[in-house]
Amino acid sequence: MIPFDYHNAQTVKEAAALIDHRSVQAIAGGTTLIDLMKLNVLTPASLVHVRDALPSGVSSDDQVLHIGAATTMAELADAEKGGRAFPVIRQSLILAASPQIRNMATIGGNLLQRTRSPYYRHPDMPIDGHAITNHGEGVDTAMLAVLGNSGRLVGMYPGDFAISAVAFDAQLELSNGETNRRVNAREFYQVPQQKEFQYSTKLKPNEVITGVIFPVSASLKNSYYFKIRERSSYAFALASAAVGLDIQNGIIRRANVGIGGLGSIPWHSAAAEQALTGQAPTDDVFRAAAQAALASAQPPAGLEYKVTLAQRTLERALQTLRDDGPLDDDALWAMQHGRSDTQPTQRGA
Amino acid sequence: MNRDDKKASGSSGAVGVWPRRDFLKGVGLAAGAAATTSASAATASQQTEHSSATPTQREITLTINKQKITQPIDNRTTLVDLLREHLAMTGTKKGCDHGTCGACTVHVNGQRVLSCLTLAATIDGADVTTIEGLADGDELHPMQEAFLRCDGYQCGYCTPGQIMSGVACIEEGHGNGSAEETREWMSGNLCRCSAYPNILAAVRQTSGAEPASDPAEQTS
Repeated sequence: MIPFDYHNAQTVKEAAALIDHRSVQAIAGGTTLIDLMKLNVLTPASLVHVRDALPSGVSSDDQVLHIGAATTMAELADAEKGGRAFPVIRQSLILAASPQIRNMATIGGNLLQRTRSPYYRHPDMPIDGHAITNHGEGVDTAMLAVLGNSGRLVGMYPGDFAISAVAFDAQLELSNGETNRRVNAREFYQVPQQKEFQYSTKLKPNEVITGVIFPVSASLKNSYYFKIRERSSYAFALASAAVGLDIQNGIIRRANVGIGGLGSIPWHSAAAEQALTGQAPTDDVFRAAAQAALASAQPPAGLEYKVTLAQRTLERALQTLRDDGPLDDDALWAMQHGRSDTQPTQRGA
Repeated sequence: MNRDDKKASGSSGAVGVWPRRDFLKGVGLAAGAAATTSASAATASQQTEHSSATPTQREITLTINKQKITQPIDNRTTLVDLLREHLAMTGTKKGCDHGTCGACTVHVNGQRVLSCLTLAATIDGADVTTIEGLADGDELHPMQEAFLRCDGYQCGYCTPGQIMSGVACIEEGHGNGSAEETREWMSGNLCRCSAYPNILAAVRQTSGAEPASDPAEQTS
């Protein structure tokens, strides 16, 4: 880690005036930033601590769910009017990271986490400004994007909560301390442009995320986050699906679909939603939606499996939601761990 | 003159090369001086650095295991380094140093966090509890007793983090549900010896979900 200046901001205005997101970066929980600074991948000259400056707390009514940017992942997951009321939000948070990290990481920072691709995380690897044309020998490619990559090798967005944000059409509140604006999460993230190795955002210099707003809907209440990973807990997604269904009289009135673990940005699938809306919730309809969701996939060599994996992840998520409704925690562990042992473990059994 | 020639002339103490014995003496002197540097001298040198173009020093105050400390630190100092390197509290372990193993888990303001990803400057004024702060004198914390009873380790390196996480896991209300629930809420602490069954037993016994017993005695 190179030396840096440190400033503890008390107000959004004070913080925003300093932060340019390049040489002067915001630090809240620090779980992404400190990790990448230790690797000398991020080398800001100055850090501005924003945790005391940003609003925190969760509130909701019949219309909207509002989340302050400094709310931790753990606080949002456990909030009666947050994660406890909206399954996909709780599930995409508690399946995202360890309890320790969820106590540290804020929602604002969580939305901005960087790709986990080793091409980005290793300072010897070419990064932004240098297009990657070939796989490095022995480099783990699972964190490269399959969707939204323009046929190039670019980093995959690794987060889970942001998948829920784009699936359920959340808005981000951005502020420079004087003027505030809202940007749809679906537009906030920009796929990597020429030579960029990972996504960019609509966040301007001297602007910070101050909140997240979800419109409350029947499908947000009837929702599910299903995550496939290399081990049953505490790992990034190989593929995941944030789904919500509003089924009335046997017809899907409204569907929300987000896909994680594949996109260069948190992936909202309008194609899948279109294939579901107005249809009966049958396996055939789910399969067609999953195929539509992955129709634009351009898997790098070796990642073809992710297309099939993501289709089956989405199909199964929709089936589980249709058949079992929103899952409680115990059902979630059973699904994620692949076992439902509720008895004390007996050693040597 | 090639590299081997240089080496040969160096060992014979030729002009321009520091004789090995004198070099070692010099190092010894420097090390001794550093070791006996007074606190005021150290502060003075830090202030000198502080006034340079890139000020990176600050002073923070923390309450660690009920004891208030004030410590000058470099901005880059993480909590685990503050504990281990500045305060010689080596109970907290540094594993991966990147937030993937949980060995460095401590409690900050009553919540379990990873001290390796916690920039010390960001928690100025906070209340910190480490593994050294769990026992009451010679009386071990029930979780420490349970790890002994259940043999919840082999090498023991992850143990301080496991114990700090286990205590928090119970406080958060995830210690007396299903075994699956506790497994999930302990999943941020890796154990390369894979003592997981006994770690799980220790946490569940401490929470009261299982009666206190030695898991080995259940083996037939």
